[in-house]
Amino acid sequence: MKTLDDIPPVESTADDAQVDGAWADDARASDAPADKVQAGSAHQDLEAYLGALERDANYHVERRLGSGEDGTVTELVRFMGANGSAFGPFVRKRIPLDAGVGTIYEDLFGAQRAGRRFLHIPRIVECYKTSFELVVVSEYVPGESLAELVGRDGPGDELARRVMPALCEAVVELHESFDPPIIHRDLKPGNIIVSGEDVTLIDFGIARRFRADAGTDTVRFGTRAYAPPEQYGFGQTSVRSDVYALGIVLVFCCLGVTLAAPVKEEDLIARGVDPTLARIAARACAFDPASRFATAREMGESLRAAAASLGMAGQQALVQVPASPGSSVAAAAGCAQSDAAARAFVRIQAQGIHSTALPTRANRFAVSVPATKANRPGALRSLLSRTPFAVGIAWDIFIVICAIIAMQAGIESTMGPQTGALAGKPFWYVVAINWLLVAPIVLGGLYLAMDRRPLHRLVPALAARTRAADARVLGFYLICAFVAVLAAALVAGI
Amino acid sequence: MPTWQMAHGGEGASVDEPLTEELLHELLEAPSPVAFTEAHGIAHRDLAEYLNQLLDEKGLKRSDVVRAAGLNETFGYQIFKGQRKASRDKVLQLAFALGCNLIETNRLLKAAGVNELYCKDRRDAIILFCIDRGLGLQRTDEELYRFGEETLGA
Repeated sequence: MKTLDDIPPVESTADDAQVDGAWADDARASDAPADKVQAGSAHQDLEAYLGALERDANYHVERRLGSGEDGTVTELVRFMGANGSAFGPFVRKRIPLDAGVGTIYEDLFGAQRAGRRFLHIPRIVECYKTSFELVVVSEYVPGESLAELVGRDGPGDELARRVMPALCEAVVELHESFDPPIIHRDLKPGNIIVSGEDVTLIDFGIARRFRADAGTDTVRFGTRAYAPPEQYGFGQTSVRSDVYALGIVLVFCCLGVTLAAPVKEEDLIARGVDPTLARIAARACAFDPASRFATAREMGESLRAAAASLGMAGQQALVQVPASPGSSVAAAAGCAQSDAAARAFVRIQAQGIHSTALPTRANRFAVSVPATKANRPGALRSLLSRTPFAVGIAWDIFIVICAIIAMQAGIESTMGPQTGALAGKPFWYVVAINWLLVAPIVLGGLYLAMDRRPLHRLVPALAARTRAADARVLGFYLICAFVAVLAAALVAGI
Repeated sequence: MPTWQMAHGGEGASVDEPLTEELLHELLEAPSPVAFTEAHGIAHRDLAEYLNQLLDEKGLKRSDVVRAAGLNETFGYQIFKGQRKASRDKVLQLAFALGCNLIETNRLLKAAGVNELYCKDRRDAIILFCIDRGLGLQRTDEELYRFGEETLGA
């Protein structure tokens, strides 16, 4: 059976492929650096569009999978090539334009055409508008929905511990691969496909990008029980809204029922849910978004910790999706148990060529790195991510020891008699040079050199910061401090 | 036509719980009752009415729009007054000048009594794409020319 990649979509060579959908006019204007580039890529996109329209007739409907309330039609289709060959099956959604939904598919399609690969989001093969509909053809994800899985295997803490961490990883990929993040807004067992170890999210019909300035979202919310209060119009949906839905899904895994709000820890425990899981679920489903886990990543970490504390073997540390880099390298998770996995990472060539193979789903330790405007990851980064976690801890301890020694030396140097450049200078000046300038350089440098993974475990608040961001802060501080000390020295006549 | 359904939340909700529609909320959110009825295909407008409605909604001046559409001033004035009919291409030029999106453009065409944009026709498809991308009349004509199709403007 031929793969998806043999279908003849036009190669996208636009490097700044416009990721935003056509509805976001103003966003687009700021994307293109020059008129010419934009013109060029628009023309290529137009060619691709005309090609897609021509292929439309080649998709034959095998059967209808469902129809939504807003007029969305979902079909199972196959692509019949000109020479009689068949590709597929695919899932085709035809979404009426006046429903105003489904714009996220254009974002996903644009990202994938630009070469990004996602492990937990289906590959979108076609995405174009006819006069009345948005047509989205995506790969058919094999497996069963979480609802079916719970129906078959029965609910319970065991199933929750098995499935939830992977599910959180999937949601993390969705949130972190885009800036601003994509909020799914319809996370429920029917929209989660589980196949062995892999979890795929489907149905992005009401997903949307997070907008910081929105007072309230226009309400088109998904299934009532899985929608947090803010999705009803009490505020704005954000990544924490998906966290809420994940909490309800967690309860579903444990009990097999969809609970209505409010979700209370005592109720869950009384119904036989493991106390740790009950606490996690209750926190995720807090009414006030600020009380919930800040990100799906945090929730996933808590779930893994809960699983680990019960001695679950083979649980992987949550994979880090590096915030910066270019498009090529996949990083392996760094967990002490994952030696073999750490060695196995997939290098994905992603410069908009469609003929690359999809990352193998079995290789769940590989994460495709989001292609943002920032720098490419060097070999150094992949090397760093590949070192085992235990080495990371040892390295960090070593650095802390160095820091202590450095501080000791600094104190001695400040207190003792001064020689060299600082001889004869007033005490405050010596202190300023040593502690406002030299010490931050040394200690800051040591901090930046640390392996951040153990740090993230110790202080979860640090997980959101990147090395580059911290380096920028340090640099900025050093400049300010240098100017201040220089000014003070000049004033004091040194 | 979407229907307003109450989902049965609570325990033991079935796996196939349908999507909930908030028709009432939509009505309250719509910029005007007219826009709401438009959205649900309830009303039928004629061209001049809809043109003026769009002018209103978008806060544009008729003279600016006529100029941007590349139409003769008198001719444009008469179209807005409903005294003359416009050809399909002229209506499309007005759609571009008004900054219409796909849905508004199709409604405009329908109001004018001409065929809506048909994606299977290559020229229409190009126009459709350009409208959706907000490319403007000039860029659209460039693309039409590049693909060997008849341009919209004079």
